[in-house]
Amino acid sequence: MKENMQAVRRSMQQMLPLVLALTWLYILQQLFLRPDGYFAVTLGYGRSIMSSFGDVNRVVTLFLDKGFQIMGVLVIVLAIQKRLHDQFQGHQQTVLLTLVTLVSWQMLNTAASLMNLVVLPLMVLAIMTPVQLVKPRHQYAVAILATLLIGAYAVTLHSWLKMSLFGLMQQGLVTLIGDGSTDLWQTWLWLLTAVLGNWLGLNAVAGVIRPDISATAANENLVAALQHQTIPHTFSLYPLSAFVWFGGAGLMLALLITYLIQARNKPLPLLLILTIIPTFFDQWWALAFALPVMWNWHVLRTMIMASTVNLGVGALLLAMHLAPAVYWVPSGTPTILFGGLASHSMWLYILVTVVLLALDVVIFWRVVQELHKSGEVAYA
Amino acid sequence: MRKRWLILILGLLGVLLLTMAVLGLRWSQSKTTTNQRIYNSRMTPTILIPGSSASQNRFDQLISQLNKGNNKHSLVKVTVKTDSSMVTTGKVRNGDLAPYFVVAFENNHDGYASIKKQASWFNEALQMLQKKYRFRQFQAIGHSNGGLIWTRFLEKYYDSDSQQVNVLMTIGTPYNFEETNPNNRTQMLQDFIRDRDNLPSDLTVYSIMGTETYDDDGIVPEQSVQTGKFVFQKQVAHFTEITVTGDDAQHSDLPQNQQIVDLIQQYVLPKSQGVPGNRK
Repeated sequence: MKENMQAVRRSMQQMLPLVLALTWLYILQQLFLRPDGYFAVTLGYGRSIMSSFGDVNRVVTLFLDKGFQIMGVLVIVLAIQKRLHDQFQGHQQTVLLTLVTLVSWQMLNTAASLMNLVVLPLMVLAIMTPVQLVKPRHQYAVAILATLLIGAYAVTLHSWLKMSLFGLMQQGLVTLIGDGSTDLWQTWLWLLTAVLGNWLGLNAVAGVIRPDISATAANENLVAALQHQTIPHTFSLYPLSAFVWFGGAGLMLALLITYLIQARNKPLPLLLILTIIPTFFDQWWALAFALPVMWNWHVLRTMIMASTVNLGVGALLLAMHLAPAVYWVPSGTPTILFGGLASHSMWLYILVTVVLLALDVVIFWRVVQELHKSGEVAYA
Repeated sequence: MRKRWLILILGLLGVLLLTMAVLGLRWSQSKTTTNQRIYNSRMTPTILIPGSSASQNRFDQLISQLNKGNNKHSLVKVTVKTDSSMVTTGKVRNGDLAPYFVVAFENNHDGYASIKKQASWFNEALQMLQKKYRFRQFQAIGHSNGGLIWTRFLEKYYDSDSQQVNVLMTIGTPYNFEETNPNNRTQMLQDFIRDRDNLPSDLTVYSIMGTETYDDDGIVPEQSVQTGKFVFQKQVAHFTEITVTGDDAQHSDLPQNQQIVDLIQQYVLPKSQGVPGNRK
């Protein structure tokens, strides 16, 4: 299991340039090209975007979808190749890897599957685990059989039934979330779920738990604020999001800052430097490809601790009448700006953010030292 | 070299975040200020949309009947031109909290393609009215295709952040155009049914049907009006179908029908209406 996971991580690191290019393109689209993008809304050119850039947007979206799909397929194929390159003869490798490519493409062929990075190790484990259990002379046949079974599952579920387990999971979560959290402990539970989801590679989970002003609790807060009444749900997800989503669920931004501080006297890989802007914009997956943070138990523990501390500090500040985040923000607002914009108290929230990130750097210090010692940094 | 890249990236990040902060704050504060006025407004107008081939004067007789006695309210008419410009006549008298707004279209042709355009124009007209008169709550009335425009607006454009519609009354509205067989669903009806999840769940809908013969009001088959149930039933808070017969039950006369006037007064108009010169 350990070697398989390492093979997946190394393949992910090899894909970092592609992931970075796609992530930067995604951010550019979110900020500038979409009709509801940040600058389109704040500068008021959203309406003319549809007529001028409608086709461009569609092409960019298609490029991103296929790009991430190709990335996923390559990670799986490279990982399998690393693990089996000594076991099979030339033609056997070719046949197996071709089959794995086709099946992986089919597995990642739904919008709901893309960016759920958990598919990558699951595919590798699903093929490698039975192979490692049998004698060498049977390994090739078992590898082919396992791949075909996965292919049958993918074709049945995705192409015939037009279903996706990730899509079903998202729908289930949306139903569970309902009107949104109203108590601090509920918000904490959803936060934990999002952190765990991110760590596992279930982006579908974290995506559903992002702050949404149309959720009942958030909307009631908004209406109360507009009518100058007491905010009814101060400890719901929307106001508390201002303290806990820096760099995505799990505070990946704090992890990155800690890493950069500890590496200040060492040469930094250029590709790692290029993950800075995406991480600031809560697009954490480029960082997850650069550093071995996913499926790392020590990192998960620290993420949970840091997120809980941030939530506690945030709740305390709100209880002490810090202006809560209740108002609208443009789509694509990174968390680092969310609190200030949604509360109209920019300076206060900048101060709070700096203090919280400083606290998180202390919490992440030890686990990042271990990451440095492991030496597993992409393109170092 | 790497340090230069780091400085470049951090510099770019700083400029980007600063620009976003300034623009975002300005946008958010502007949206909040506009909506604060809207949310704290006590005005609840009744907005009427006429049917195809009808003009902004379609409801004059209806509004005269509603304005009988001491209960007089202002009437503002908006005509949306094909280039999206708007011509407004009339004004809201000071203190009038329940005026009537009629929104008509220069292109008032029949057909699904026209209805889609008219709904988009209506959305623009409503935003103009909201900005000018600063209201959030309103009541909705649509005669004939006017009801279709309301339905499309509610499914495609309605913004629950800045709008709240309490009641919708559609009068002689052909949800399935001229189809008499409810199993033969027009594209428009199919689209309405597909997008019905977007309808406000707290809305009360009255669908009024006139019958001159036993099958139609002279133009719209009753089966077509009745297909409205596939759109609204189990989606909105309340859905009621009412059949009106007798005098003025022909399609074009329905807005003047006394029973419909009574229904509007009873179920649509706000109960406590601010009337100019009648403030307590």
